[in-house]
Amino acid sequence: MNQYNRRRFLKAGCQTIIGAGLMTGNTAKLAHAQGSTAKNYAALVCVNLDGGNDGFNMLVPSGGAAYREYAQGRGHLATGSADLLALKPTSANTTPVGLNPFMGKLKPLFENGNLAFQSNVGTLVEPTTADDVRNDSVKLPEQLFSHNDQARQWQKLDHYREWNSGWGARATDIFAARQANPNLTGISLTGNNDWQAGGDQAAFSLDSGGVSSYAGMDDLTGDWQMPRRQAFIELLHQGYTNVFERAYAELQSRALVLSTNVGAALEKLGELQTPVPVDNALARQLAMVAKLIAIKDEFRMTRQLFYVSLSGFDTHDDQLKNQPYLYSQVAEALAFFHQALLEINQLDNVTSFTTSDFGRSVSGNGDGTDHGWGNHHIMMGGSVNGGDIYGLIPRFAIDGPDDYRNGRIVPTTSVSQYAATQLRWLGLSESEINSLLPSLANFEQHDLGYMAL
Amino acid sequence: MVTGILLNIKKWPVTALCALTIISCGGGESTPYQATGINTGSASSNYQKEDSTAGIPEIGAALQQPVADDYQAVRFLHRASFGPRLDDIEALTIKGYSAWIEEQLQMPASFMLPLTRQRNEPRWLEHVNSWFKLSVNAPDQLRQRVAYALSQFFVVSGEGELGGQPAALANYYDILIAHSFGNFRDLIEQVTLSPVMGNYLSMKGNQKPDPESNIRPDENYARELLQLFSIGLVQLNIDGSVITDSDGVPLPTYNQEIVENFAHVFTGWNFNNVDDWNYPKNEDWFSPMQAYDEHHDKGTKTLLRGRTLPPGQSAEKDLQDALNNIFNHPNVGPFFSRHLITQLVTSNPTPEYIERVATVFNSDSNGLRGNIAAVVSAILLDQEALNGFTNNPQFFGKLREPIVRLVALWRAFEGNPDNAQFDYSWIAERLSQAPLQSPSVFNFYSPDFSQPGTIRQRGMSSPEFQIHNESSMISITSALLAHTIWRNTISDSDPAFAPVDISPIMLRDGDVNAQLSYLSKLTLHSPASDSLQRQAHYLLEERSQATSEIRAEDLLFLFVSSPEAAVQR
Repeated sequence: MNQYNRRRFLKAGCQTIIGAGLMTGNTAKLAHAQGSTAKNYAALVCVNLDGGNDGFNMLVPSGGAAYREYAQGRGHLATGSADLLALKPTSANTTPVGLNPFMGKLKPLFENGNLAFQSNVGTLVEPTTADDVRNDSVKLPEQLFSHNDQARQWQKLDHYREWNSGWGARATDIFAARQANPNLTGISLTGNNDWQAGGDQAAFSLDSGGVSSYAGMDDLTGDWQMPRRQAFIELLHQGYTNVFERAYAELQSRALVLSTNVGAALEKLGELQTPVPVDNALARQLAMVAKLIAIKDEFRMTRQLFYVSLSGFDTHDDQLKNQPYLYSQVAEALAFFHQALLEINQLDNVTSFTTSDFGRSVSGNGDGTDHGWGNHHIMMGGSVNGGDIYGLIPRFAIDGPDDYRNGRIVPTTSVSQYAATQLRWLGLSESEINSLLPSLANFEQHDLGYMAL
Repeated sequence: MVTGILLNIKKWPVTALCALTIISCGGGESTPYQATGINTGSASSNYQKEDSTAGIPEIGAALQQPVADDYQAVRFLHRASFGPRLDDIEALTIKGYSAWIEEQLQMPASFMLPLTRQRNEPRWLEHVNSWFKLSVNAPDQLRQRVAYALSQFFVVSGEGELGGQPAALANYYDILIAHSFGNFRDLIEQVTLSPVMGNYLSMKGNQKPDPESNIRPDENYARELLQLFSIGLVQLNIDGSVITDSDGVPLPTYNQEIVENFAHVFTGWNFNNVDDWNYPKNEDWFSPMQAYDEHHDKGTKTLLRGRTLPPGQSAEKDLQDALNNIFNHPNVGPFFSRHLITQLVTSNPTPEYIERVATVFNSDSNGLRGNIAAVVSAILLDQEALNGFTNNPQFFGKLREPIVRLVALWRAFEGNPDNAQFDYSWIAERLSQAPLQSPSVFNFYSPDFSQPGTIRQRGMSSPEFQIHNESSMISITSALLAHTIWRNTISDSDPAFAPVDISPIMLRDGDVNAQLSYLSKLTLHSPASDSLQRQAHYLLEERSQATSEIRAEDLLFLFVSSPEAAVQR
């Protein structure tokens, strides 16, 4: 075999291995299965605020007795009522609230109907009031107020420990079966996470910088690196008996797919027109999500679930200094993502929603707040029935009617209801949703109404 | 800071307090442990070598024999050090396991702060640079390996504002080094009083309640000390299995009320000798925190297992009592033992293995509780550790951490260890982790992370896989390539970047078997598999017209990037 032919052979060999998981173009058409609804494409973007975002300073009662209770509970950490940005929700039957001034970039999105809030949502086994807790008359979530347990319960909704998987992963498994490229159904911008963990179809990870290539093995045009690359790849396809060695080899193979096929499609796409905010890690992740959505047709994707995350929300300390920064980052990143989706003409097809470990205590510890329970959350997208606040704004009085203990507010909406509403929009059937979210059956309302179906 | 070292003042008569306390909350079977007391100044300057071999259980005759097989020695060194060098392998095969451990226990400790202070103005991430220097070069490898495992239990991180305090972080790591073969009770006290931990989990400046302003004590440290640093969330049997109620629901170890009570215990502490409680201008990052009784809550406190502290106690007394209460909880043995086993040996130890080690934690051969040297020795000399490779080849072992693989590479192929500045730029981005740079107090990965596929289907854990994903596999592999093919002593690499020395591989050029055997011992857990040998031959043939340097580089990268090199067994 002469040099030229050998090289062609090696390249073809590599591509067969690399391309095993991905189909593009015409091949994919054959596999393009039936979607479950009329939508050609729909994506959920889980925006995780890692550490327990203080949602109760994000939306604040804008006056009267409700504000006084909040301000008394929060003490010097309270946001001044004069600083709040007025919100006029479509349904005016709830306690009036204002938006934290550092989230000002979200106000126009709320006003033009592309953003809504879900009030006081949290982990619940069954409908629960503070009285129920005091009377010990309901089943409570295990390990309340513990970071990783509460974050996992939010992200997994696996109350009976049936799967030890995230609800994002379980939904991904259902949709992956209908995709031309199943392994691009779930995509994470921050590596392994609980929402996407534990399914049959693992989530693909890449970072906001895009797809990097294998140093010293990425020149597919020359001869020099080819033997090195060939030997490296061959070692990934040996029958390893040790499970750790096998899993490592499998993951490396998946990484090779990422570095070639997805990388090439992203390169072809180029940059977004919408400027990405500087020094904003969340915006950078969302920019990559927008680019991946922009190349969805290349891989014939009809449903995708993305995960992005920003950390730093565990504000035990220096809350007055850190919170304005965190809120501005979130607001700036979401406003940017809205623009980017407009640019790629996918606004109605993409719904973003926030998650977090828990809300924070109304009472303070001097310069910060501690782990709480119920929390306010954000839903954003062209299909969100925006401009409204869903659920009940709780009473913030310490030891008041909604207080579990020392200012930890009992949620009035469960995470499973919050999740069910999104999954229905994504295209899961009632029975699929019920089987995916076991504790949903304990709640009457299975659709919170914030999505336009 | 220097004055702190010179003064060396005993801040309070801790031992006396402890002796009294233990009568009231003693642990039952085991001998009370007496804490050693608090000094000002850095951990390394206060360090006094303990008798690390005391209390170590009697060792069977077989373990005192020379080690028969080089690869048995290699596998042992993966657990007990940051990776083998040829002379380590040889020494171990001659001495046998128990003599090797004993020698390691007796070695003087090497510390990190002096390395960090080699520069007058430590740079950003200087502690990462010193960690590599120390971990690669320190002769007391067992102590260093254990200290690193402890740093993934008592987590603090330079991600965030502590990143600007590289020397303070180094001193925190020195606390772990100083107590790697010490007693767990001392260790949790030193960790609790470290201003670095005080800053990281906001115990520093935590003050008594102010009911009028709705201010309660900060619960951050109280919660994580219980959840992560000592007993965990659920009650454990001595073999690490979870105790449940009749419905199969795990029994919690504490509730929110207990956390709040511990939060009250940990009020009244701040930097040593501050001029101003709220805005101290003199921040002593190197001495343990000091108690300020006027900021301490004097109420009654309900602790674990129904123990209560009477009202009116000082901050110091409350803290000592509370740490004794935690230390004597039956969970500590299995909880801590499991952590160390999964760090050093295997991701999925049997309950019997955990029980054997936890039993030593609860009572060493002198009846003392919390002897970490005895625990480490029990872990490394357990039959499950020594025979797992043979008896359980499919499931025994663990994925090696990216930074441990890099340290092992630099140890095995030492380029310029004395002068090297280890290349740590963007290390967390390249390797998915960096020492003392965890993204949160929950460490780089969760102990129960389970990789999809066979591992998950079998209900096994694979913690280290949590930081391995498609994206990080590319960057980790690229880093391994950079540090073998690009940055070696022959390829005209900058000596400042710790180039690996490939000349021993080149010396064996032409003798394939010698090359493969050399590389296998230094990078793998056993002789190269048939397929790795085949690919090595293929590469050598492809590179037959190239220089011996090229062949050496390509072989080294092939070995270190292979799936069999990624796993410790």
